[in-house]
Amino acid sequence: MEWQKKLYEQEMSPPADLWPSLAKQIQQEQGRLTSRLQEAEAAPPSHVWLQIAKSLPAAADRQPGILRSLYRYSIPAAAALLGLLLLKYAMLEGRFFSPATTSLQRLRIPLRTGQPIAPAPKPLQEPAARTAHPFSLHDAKPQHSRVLAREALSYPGSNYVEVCDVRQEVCRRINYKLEYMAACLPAQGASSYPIACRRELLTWLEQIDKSNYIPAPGHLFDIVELVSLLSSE
Amino acid sequence: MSASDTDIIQGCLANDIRMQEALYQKYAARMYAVCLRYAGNAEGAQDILQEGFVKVFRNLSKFRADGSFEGWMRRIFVNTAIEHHRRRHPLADPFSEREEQIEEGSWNALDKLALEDLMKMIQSLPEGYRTVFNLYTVEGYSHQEIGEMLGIQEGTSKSQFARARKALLERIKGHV
Repeated sequence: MEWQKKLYEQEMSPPADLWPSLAKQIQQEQGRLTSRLQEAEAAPPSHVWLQIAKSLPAAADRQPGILRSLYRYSIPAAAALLGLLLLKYAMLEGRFFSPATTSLQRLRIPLRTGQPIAPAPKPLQEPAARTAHPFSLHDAKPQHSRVLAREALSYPGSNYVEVCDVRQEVCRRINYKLEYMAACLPAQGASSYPIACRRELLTWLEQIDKSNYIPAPGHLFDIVELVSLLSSE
Repeated sequence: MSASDTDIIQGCLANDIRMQEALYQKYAARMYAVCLRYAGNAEGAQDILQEGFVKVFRNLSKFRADGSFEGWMRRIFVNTAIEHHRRRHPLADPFSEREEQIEEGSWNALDKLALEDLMKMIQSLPEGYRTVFNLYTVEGYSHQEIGEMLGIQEGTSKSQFARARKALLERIKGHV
């Protein structure tokens, strides 16, 4: 019908002053992305440790060495918390942590920011299927982090080795999630796509993004880019 | 001679501000019309336009040249408009209604309207009606797709569309 065509092709001039402010915003966006990528390579400022210690009094009191070690190895605080959250999940599910899964060898895992993460020696439990929902952090609210961290560290046998393993598991999970998400993106020419699935993934990735978790520079870039992509499509 | 889409895209990817402006100048009017159709007022439309263009520039590297660039952009703006709608209704589902059948009305009357009048009538529709109406009649999404996009039942989309159509036809009667 004619009116539909007219509506589709209609043009309306936006206010003339919109472009200057938009141009400024775009340049700021570019600058922000660049600085975030640079931050991924930069060492955190020295006062950050004090903030971490303050936010995790119970955990720091019990096993300060673990957290200091994590910090010394340039693991962002949020990543440590995320790792501890996963440790909590692991304990609850009784899956990928058992005495048999820890070993001295894993203490040698490179942990400095920017270094590639060594592949996990052996996946402890792969998600059942690519289409299944592999993991969820929906319940991991920031206000629970301290409690979970305390509980995680009070778990018998919890130590630095295990936390390293957790971090590696986080990395593996993120990789898996990225793959999963890529599989969910619409095929070329597809007229529909799983909105609910993408929404869920977006939520998850935003949590990761906001947490400043930095598994590797390439991953950070992927996450920023993918969050942007999912936000717009 | 104006630059081609390919030149503009390449320039934008190289962070060339002149090409960014060229892209904006080429498509702003058409995308603003899309935004106005969804927003209902100029202020909301400008917000969507600005946010949409930021997303376009941010995601330009994702554009695959095997389809229409304008179509790709339009989808971003439509989705941005839907996000705006959701932000205003974070919890309530404004679309949630029983499906109802409304007898077919004639669309032909819309052809007789001036575009400006038609636009005003669409903008005056309640937000839920307006969104479904635009997605279905202008963008060409199916009710199933609209349901997925808005997080509502397919039947609710049909119902909203029927109500939108009825409301539009009533406005036309009043206008004539």
